[in-house]
Formats: sequence, C-alpha cells, structure tokens
Amino acid sequence: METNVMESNVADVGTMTPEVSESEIIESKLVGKKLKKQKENSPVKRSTGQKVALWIVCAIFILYSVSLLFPFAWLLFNSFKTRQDFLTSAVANGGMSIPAIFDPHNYYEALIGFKLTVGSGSAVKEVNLLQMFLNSIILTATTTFLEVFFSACTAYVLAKYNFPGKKIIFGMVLASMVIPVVGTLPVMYDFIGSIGLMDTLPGVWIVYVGGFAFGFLLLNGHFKSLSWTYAEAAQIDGATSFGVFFKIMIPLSMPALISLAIITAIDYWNNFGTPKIYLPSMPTVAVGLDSLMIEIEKTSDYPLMFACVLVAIAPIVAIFCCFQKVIISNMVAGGIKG
Amino acid sequence: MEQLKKKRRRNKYGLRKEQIVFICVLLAYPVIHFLVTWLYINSRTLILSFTRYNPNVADFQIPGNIFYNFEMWIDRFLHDSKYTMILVNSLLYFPVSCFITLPLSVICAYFIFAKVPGGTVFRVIFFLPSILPGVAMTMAFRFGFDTYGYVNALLRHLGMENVPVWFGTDGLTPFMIFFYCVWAGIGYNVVLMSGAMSRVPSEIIEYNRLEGVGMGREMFCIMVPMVWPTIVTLFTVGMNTVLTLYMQPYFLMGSSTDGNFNTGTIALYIFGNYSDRRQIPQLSSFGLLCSLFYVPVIFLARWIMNKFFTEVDY
Repeated sequence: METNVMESNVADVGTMTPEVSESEIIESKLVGKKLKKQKENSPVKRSTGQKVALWIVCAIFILYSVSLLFPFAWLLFNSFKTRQDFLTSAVANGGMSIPAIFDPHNYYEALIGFKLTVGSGSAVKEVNLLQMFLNSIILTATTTFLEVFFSACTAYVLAKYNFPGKKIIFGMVLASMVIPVVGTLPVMYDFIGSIGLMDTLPGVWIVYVGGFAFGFLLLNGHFKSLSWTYAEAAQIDGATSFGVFFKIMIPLSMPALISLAIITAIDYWNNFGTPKIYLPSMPTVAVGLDSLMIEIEKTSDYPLMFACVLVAIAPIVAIFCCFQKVIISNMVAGGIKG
Repeated sequence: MEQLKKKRRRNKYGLRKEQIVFICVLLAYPVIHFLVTWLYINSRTLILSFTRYNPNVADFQIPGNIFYNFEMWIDRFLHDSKYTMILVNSLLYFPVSCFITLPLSVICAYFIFAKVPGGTVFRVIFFLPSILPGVAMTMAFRFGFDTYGYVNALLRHLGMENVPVWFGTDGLTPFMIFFYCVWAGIGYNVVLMSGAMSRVPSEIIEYNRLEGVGMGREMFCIMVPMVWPTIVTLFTVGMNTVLTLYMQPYFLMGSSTDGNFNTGTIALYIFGNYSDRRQIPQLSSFGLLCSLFYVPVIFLARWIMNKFFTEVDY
C-alpha cells in the first residue's frame, strides 16, 4: 500500500520513476480494505464476562472523560455571566447554573479590551489577547518551520549517507536526548543576554531550534524507509545532492513533514517557559494568559478570566479537531520504542 | 579513463566533493547548535558550579574551597526544612509518575486496544490535556476545587459541612498537585502505549484468545512483555520528572515560584531564581548535585528494567 502511494507521488516529480498502473493501485487498496475487515471480524469472540468487563471499563472511561471535559463546559457557561451573577451563583451552587442571558461582552473584553502592560523603561507597551495571538502565530510559525527543516536536514543526511563522524553525531543526538540536564537555565539565560539576543526572536530560535530532537527520530526512520533508487535515477539525470534533497526527498516526505509540523506547532504554541524567559516583551498566548490571570484575579472578574482561557484554547482545539487523526496516528506511529 | 577520474574524486566513503559539501551544509547548523547550547552551556554550568560571584568585580571567581557550593547544598538539604522538602517533594513525583500514572495508562491503553466501546473517542478525549496550554488546564482544574467551586458545591450538596481547603494546606496541597499530574498526565501515555500495542501481531492475540486466555492474562502476560521497551522508555521519562517538573506547582499555586504549602520542586526553585546572575554558581551546583545523584539512578533503573523481558522484534 505504502509503496504504491509513494510511487504515485514520485510519478509527479519526474520521469525517472517506475510507472504504476491505476488498476494496481485500486487492487492494492481493495486488498488493504479486505485485510482490515478480516482483522475487525476476528473469529474469536469475547465471552459474556469479558463483554461485561468492557462495559464497566467503558463506564469508568466515561466518568474520566466527563471529568476532563466538564471543567471547560463550566468555564464556558460561566464566561457568559456578569461578575456579580457569577459570584452569586458560585456562592449558591458552585457556579452550576446556566446564565440567564448569554452576554458575549466578556469575549469582546478578552480579545480586545483587556490589556497587559509589558516591557520596561521607554519600551513599555500594552498588548491585548489578539496581539498575543499574533505573537504566538509568528513565534510558532517561524520556530516550527526551522525545527522541521533542520530536523529533516539532520535526519536525511544521517539516514542516507555514510561519512566520517556519523557515529559521533549519533552520539550527540543520544546525549542531548538521554541525559537530563538540570541547572543550565541560568547559564543559558546569561549566555543569550551576553550575545545581545535577549527579548528577540533569534534568541528564542537559538534556544528552541536544534535538529536533534523528537523530529529527528521521527524523520530519520522515515528517510531510512525511502527507497534510494529515486535519488539514483535523478542523479543519472544530472541532479545534485541538493537537487535530490529539495526536489525529490522533501516532496516525497511532505506527509511526514506536515505531521511533524502539526505536533511541533502545538508544542510551541503551548510552550510557556521559553517565551516567558527569553521573550518578555512579546508575550505569547500561553505566557500572556498567565499574566492576564494574575491581573484579572486582582479584580475578581472571573467570567472575564474564563473567557480569556476559552479564547486562548479555541484555535488549538479547532486544529486538534481538524487534524486529530493525523496527530494521534503520528503520536502512535512515532510511539517510542526502547 | 573518465570513470577512473571519477573514482579518484571519491574518498574512502565513496563520497564526491559535491556530496561532502552537501553533508557539511546540512549538518552545519544542527552541529553548531549542539556544540553551543549543549556542550558549551553544560561545560560552563559545570565550571561555574565551582565558583562564587564576587560583587566587587561583578564576575565569578574560584574560592579557596572549590566545593563550597556543594557543601552548602548538602548542608541545606540535611538541615534546612525548606530545601529538604523541595528534595522530598521532587522525589515523590517518581512514584506518582512511574507507579501510578504509568500503570493506569497501561491499563487504559490495554482496554482501548481490547476495543472497549467508544475506545477511539476516549483516546482523543484523554489526549486533550496534552494539547492544551498548561495554564488553561490547571486553571480549569483549580477552579473546580476552589472554595466556591463545583467540587465543593457537590460535597456540600452531599452533606459535608466543612469542605476542605484543597489549595491552602501543607498536607492537602501537594496531594492535589500529584492528583492533577495523574489526572492530566494519563492521556499522553495512553496514546503512546496504545500505539505500541496496536503493533503487536494480531496472530499472537488471536492464538491466545483461541486458547482461552482471559483479559487479565492477555494484558499482563502478553501485552506488557510485548510493549516492554515502550514501558521502559515511559518509565524513564517519568523518572525525569523528578528533575524537570515545575509547571504544575507553578500554575496551581497561582503562578508562584515560592513553593508554598510544600509544593516546591528542584526545577521550580531554579525557574524562580534564574534571572539573578549572582545566583548562577549556586543554581548550577544545585542542578549538578541533583543530577549527579539522580541520573545514575535513572540509568540503573533502565538497566534493571531491560533485564525483565527480552526485546522481541515483530
């Protein structure tokens, strides 16, 4: 199955690839479906006791799922209340009441109205949640692109080439992943400050983007599984190593790269520590939300706080809903082993 | 003749000059990045841990007793209850992660693998805490347990008059943070574990089911050994939390790095003091000392766990 998909992709790239007939692809798809159906219709049936056990577990899972989802439903309903309404209902029944009027005022206030003061001296400025979104988008987009690109570079070279020092580089990868490093944060902070990159995007890129992280592991396996015959065919046609990498291997790896980009982007979007420390004047949603909470708590305007939280998580939930299959299947496929 | 020329242009690895340039260009940034942010930063941390900050010259100097910082920390751990508590509290995340969260995750993953009704939906819901910002997740959790939150309202409704102050007592607060870690931490492990389980060949499962193997034996005698490498890795990751966890206590204690109510951890202490340049030697030695004692324990645990079952390729 996978080979056929790969080959059909390659067919778009150039003339050097083997041709696969449409009927072969359809046939292989049908075989795949048949196998899946066979697997689902396993001849071994569960006993009644086992079925009961599964339903009991299902009930426990429902309770746990409710415990995960209910707090957000509670936030949602209470975010439409006024401050006074919320305080009254909180004292009466823990905020377990539906608002009389669904007033979206808190959402407007959360997005535009409520502002946070950042920076110091002459660089003091006010930012609202909308600007924090923009900061998050800029930071997430740039760091995700760089992370995926450098991970692809490292993974491809180490997967496809034999060269002196390859084992040393693998050693670097292992060292950076296996040895937990504690206590380097103050030194890193001092270092970024000393090279004049504190509170700048390049400073955060240096801290964030490497090329030897989770993305490397995911893509290294992927590039290893890609056939080298495509590269050989391209080289016969006069392609350079750069040409093979950028015009054949990268397009062929797009699904894997996109999956990695989604997972990486979610990680960066939610990251709190790094932007908080290295980018204080450009608060992202995760950082700004924390500061907003502290500010709003002083005024006890909890419904506004709830609206801020819900607005902040809305994009990530939307992305998760759209790409949950890709995200989950990649977490599953990239599932760690040893 | 042309071929001979080509051969001469290749080195012993069979690489052409153009390929060597390609490799160097693609690896340049990642290698430099590693050398700077890992090797240099770690080496500097190591060196600075033996120094003291001299405010007169605004720089770090090696004192007469180069182990001054380490001796100070050992003394603090032994005699200052604040630091003893940080150490004990951090160490407690080991059993919480490895002996509560991980086994629960294995059980949940097994039942999802065993096709519990709605398993796919549950897997998605369980994964949700892993994709939401920590501040949002912790806030949603904390408000439930607030004095006028829905948990206390429910308890009052059930007849409990003196509802507990969940986040404001020495005994209950650390427990609540552990509870949060388990509650929100299961999902990520479940997704990884169920992925590992789905790769177990179906023939093995079907054969055992035909032989009449029950669900308990299937889980503990077949699935656990088959996915053991994944369990070992997650166990190691869980052990790392002792040194790295700070977000949960930070957010749940209202964005505080004070570690009030016995909630301090090693990483939280470092996070709370990173910007003070004068403290770099102290913090470096603190991290180094903790790593020095704990990292060998992690490797030892991993080595022991790898002895339990032989890894099977399938």
